[in-house]
Amino acid sequence: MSRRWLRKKSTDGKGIHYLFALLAVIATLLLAQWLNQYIPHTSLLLLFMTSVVVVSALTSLGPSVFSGLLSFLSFNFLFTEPYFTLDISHRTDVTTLMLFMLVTTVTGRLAGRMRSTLSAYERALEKLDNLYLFSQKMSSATTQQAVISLLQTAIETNTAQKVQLISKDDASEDIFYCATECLLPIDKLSHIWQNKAISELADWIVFPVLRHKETLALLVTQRFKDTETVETCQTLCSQADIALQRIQLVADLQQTKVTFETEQLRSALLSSVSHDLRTPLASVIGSASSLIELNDKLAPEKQQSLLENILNESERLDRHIQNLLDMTRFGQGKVKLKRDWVDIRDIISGALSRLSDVLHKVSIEVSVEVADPIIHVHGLLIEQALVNVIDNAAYYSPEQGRIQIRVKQLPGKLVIEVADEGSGIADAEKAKVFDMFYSLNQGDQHQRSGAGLGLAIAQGMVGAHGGQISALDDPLLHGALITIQLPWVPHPKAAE
Amino acid sequence: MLAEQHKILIIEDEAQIRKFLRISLEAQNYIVTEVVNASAGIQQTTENSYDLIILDLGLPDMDGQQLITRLRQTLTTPIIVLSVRASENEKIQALDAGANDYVTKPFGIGELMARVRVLVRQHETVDDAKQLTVQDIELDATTRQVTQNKQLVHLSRKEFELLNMLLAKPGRILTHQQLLTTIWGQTFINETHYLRVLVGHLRQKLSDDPVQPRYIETIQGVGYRIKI
Repeated sequence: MSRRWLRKKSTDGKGIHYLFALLAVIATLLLAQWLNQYIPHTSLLLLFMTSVVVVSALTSLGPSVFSGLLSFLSFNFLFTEPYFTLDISHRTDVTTLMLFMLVTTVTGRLAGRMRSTLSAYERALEKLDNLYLFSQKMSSATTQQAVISLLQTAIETNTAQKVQLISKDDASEDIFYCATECLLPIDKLSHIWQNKAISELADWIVFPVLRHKETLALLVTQRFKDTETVETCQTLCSQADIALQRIQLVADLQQTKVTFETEQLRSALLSSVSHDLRTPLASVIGSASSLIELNDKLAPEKQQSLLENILNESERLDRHIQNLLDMTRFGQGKVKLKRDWVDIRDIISGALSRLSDVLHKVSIEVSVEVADPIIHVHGLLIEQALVNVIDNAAYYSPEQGRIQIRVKQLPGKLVIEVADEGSGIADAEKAKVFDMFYSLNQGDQHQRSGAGLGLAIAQGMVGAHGGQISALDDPLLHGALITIQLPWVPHPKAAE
Repeated sequence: MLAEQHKILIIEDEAQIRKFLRISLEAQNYIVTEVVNASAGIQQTTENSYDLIILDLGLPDMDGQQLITRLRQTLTTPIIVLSVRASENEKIQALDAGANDYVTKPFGIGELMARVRVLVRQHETVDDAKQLTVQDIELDATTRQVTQNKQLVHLSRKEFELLNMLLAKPGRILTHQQLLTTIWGQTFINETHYLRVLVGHLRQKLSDDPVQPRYIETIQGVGYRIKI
């Protein structure tokens, strides 16, 4: 700010400088007049010298020579014999005055040079400042449009002229778009587009917006003489080029990553389908065919047990299919949370009744230790997450094992714990059981293969609510402990 | 059982489902008629009278919701809807359009049979009894008294209203919207938490365990139903 103010003063205030020089001389003159009674007149020259040095330090060459000349003349007129004439009678006075003029000129020049160097530095510094600001904006721009419009604004600021943007919708076609009436002749555009360098045409100068030698747009403005500004604009253009390349690179990387992940998910899904769906299906086909083939040879209770097998395995199949559907919906980001106020006990109740066929071989203990069990979630999704977690616990529970479901309240969250008496989860696996790829890739070899995608999907559902799910060891039942933490806010009070 | 046989109409386009429904329902002594699309269903209901309609929502010739609305213009016959596991919205829509209950495919026959029994019985005994009884709970609408196992239970006005609504339609799902509009009014249709709190209080007064409820069953995302 201060630099700009100074620069302004030095260019615009020439008249003021001369006035300043004049005033300085007059002031010195008055002072010298008064001092003249005490010191020899030759010494007074030092006083004038001082004033000239001050003037030349603060202004430029012109005013400093002007003040030197003025000082010389007034000194000659007032303080050398014969007084009140421009004649000089003493030879020493002549020499002194000559020397005085010489010193004045030299100091003036020196000061002037210093000033111009300084202002050149200031200009360069300001340019650097602007460039730095520009490149900062460039590096935070995330889209091609943003970069181009920043560049347009920057050139407009630098040239103090309107800049027109000419762009193409489809790079392969020669159809150009201008916001207002096109400044360049349409038939020349194709050629200029190919040119890829700053070109001048009639009254116009064209800056191509390039991304690694590919023209993305043209910026057109009135031609100007100042080569320095052209250089600046060129620098801006190459900065934009770098930014555009970076954006392209990021987009490419993202695309590659998405393609890779989709591919990986697809193959993982296929292997999961074969595992998760075929296992129960094998039981169904096996049991049903046994019943048809051996019907009369089977005791009634054996028939009954085969039929139960078919039913239970079909229901398992149904859960797996639901999970797969949920997972693909999550993968496509199509799941919309429909939050509503629900009682957490209802969710547990729903999950338990959905799992009633699985849970007859274990005993369930539920404790809800919360003051306010009403929570703002998408009830069915949390129920599904809980179904998966409890299903998993039941799968690894020993016969007649206990499963404890404990609901606790912490500041700002509700915690649901599901603990079992199974063999637990190895420390190395704890973080991985929720990983979709991990549980998929383990396939049949994996110790917890029966869980399939259940925990990964539970994590997806809990995560969608801004909650967390984690695997620990249960200190009470000595099996696995899965905790689900959900953000909790008190519900608005009911009007009774 | 031999005194009267109830007639059930099945409107379902999938042959396999019709097959096992017919086998199971006939085994329970119901008279079953099958049709494969909505238009045949409408025709059947105009020509004959039924005690229950089992209706698949995914019919080839008409949207299930539309069909319910259409049937409800002339009929009070109870309707059970069969739907694939889709959004809760579909079920709520069906219930609001006038369906009495729904069963999600795939379902066990036991579940369906229980619903069928309830609705057939309910349809039969349409009386204006002011005395409602479910399990050990009795509600007298005229004296506004509720007893549980002969013991008087003190309920607030809204708790009484809620219990009254549920008991009046035993085994039938009442949607959040239906309950909220009746108890609080139209403007409170989205204030589900009012309902959660009220149900919580009512369960507490009836010493009902919310995790394994004996009386009031929660249908997640849809509504409530009184167990019989």
